[in-house]
Amino acid sequence: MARPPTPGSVVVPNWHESAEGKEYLGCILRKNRRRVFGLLERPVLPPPVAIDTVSYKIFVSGKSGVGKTALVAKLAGLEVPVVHHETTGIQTTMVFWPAKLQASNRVVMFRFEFWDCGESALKKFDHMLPACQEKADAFLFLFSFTDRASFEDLPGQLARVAGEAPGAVRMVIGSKFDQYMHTDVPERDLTAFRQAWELPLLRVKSVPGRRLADGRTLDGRAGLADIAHVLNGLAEQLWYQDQVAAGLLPSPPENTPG
Amino acid sequence: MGEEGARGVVHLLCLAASSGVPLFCRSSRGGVPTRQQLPFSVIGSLNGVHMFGQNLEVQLSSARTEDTTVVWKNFHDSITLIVVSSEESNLELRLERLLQMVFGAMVLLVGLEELTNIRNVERLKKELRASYHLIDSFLGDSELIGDLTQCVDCVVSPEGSLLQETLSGFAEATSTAFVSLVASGRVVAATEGWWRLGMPEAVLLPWLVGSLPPQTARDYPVYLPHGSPTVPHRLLTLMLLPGLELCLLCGPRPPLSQLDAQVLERWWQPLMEPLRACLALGPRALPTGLPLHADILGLLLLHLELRRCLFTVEPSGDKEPAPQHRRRLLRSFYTLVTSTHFPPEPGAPEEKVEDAIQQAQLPRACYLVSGPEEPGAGWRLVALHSGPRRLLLLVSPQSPTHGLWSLATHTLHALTPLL
Repeated sequence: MARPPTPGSVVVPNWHESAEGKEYLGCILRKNRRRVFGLLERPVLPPPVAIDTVSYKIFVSGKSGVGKTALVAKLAGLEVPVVHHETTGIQTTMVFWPAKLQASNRVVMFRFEFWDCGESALKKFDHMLPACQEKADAFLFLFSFTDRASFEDLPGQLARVAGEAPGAVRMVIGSKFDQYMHTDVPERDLTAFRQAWELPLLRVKSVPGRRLADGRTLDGRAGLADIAHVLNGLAEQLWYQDQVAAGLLPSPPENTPG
Repeated sequence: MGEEGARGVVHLLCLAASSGVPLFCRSSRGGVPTRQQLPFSVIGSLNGVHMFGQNLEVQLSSARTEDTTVVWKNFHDSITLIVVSSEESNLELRLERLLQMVFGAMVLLVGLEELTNIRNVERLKKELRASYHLIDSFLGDSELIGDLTQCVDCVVSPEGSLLQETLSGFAEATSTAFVSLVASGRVVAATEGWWRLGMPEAVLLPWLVGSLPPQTARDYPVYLPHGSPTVPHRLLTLMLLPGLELCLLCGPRPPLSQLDAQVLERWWQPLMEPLRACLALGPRALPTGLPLHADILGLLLLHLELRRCLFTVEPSGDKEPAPQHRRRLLRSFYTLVTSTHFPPEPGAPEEKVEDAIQQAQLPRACYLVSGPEEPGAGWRLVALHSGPRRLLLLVSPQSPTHGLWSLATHTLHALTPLL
């Protein structure tokens, strides 16, 4: 596994807030809501700006109750379930995200397919874990800031879930960061983890998204602003990984002086 | 008449029969799920009175107060379901069927074994949460009616044969006998295998798909309450368009990854327009070209042998009353005619067969006026029974009573080719 690129070195970090970026984001929104895409659909841009789409499969892993389904719902701009229940089996969610590459100044449409599976279903049914791991381009490891055991479970998860996929991207996400008052995972533990594993680590808040004027529908643009750092982080890691795998970049160690 | 506030409230209680431990409570008020719950003491008493009877070998099945109906039902000596409803004109038939659907939903998602052999109540409670979406959709104001009619809600697409052909080809290519195309909980097309699914799963599966929050694809283990209550099958759903899903019921193969976007595009992209048209049909359920009399505000057509139904309250325009009200009128009319006038449908063993004399004098049609008693003011409801088909119509108050019979006969005739 290549060392991760420095954040912001591959994908232009705040491009989605620029005028150009906002225009591109328009194709994944409809009337200020996030658009849900069926498998036969894709975002449509006006003809002169047709751009390439790259697809990636991402398996979301983590202890039961850390908020895997909630994270995916947030990334897709959907309602986060109010009451927690174990996800019945595997469910996948497609998320489109346009991002601008630093090197070529080119905009690429990322098509992320998130695979989410309930922990007890994983244990009960043998076919589920292999189905999720098969040809996964990235693994998102989730822990919750309010659940110490989920953090301590990470090394085990990393070995168990991504052990056989050395070429895949691995990222760690800490959920429920808004509840830092009750955190069970202090900063020094995170630092130690980061040093030991050298994996990109992101934090997400689990606060309800902003609503539109009707008070009910989720505000698509506000939702995107909340999770842009996760989608950009993923895009960056995946694009970089592809470049390394294709031999387009010098091998990672000498490329990252620190 | 009940007090304002208690109207339209439904409480559903699920308890472990042996211990009386509540497993879950779900409630709705005016067709919307609510968190308001019955106090624990009331739950205890409702269960207690049922248990008391059981100890004396008396089966307490229902009770009525001035504005509330209570129905109890025990499943496999392990699970007790109780429903307390203050909805208007709620006959026992409706509530009994509701409880059967609820138990079916529980089996569907956790399996019969877990429900009949409860080893860990806390774990079962957690597992049952996965069925809340589905159960709440039975308590809420649904656009579907299969929960009550025990027939599969369908939608007739003008390009049905084209869709059917592609579906069969797709089923063959994926070596899956059970495939269906579901638009917001209604079946648009299905393979023969899918149509042979027993009750209640034939109703539950599309209903489940329609009640879940959107997902691009799913691979869920499901237990078929009738066909396979202890061995799970895989339910694969693939969202072709938002609101339109391809459903496969299968064993270990095919893996979900095999049904990727490329495969689906190859089969279904050429049918994009008919597929979009299915979505546009939506709650109308019938092709737009079908001429229906303008006085018809809603209709329910059942085919009792095929166990399929068409249910719409939006055949035309936006006249009074509101769709929810129309659905309620047709639902209670269905309950009334099924429990009092018309013979029980085949394949519904829970209904008591009336005595032989009544069998010989089965009514073929009936009508009812609902609402204000002044002439020309109440909604007209007509039911017609002919062969395997049963048609229920909600007709506007302006429609003359003497014309109802021929209106219903003509409509049934026009709809016959569809179902």
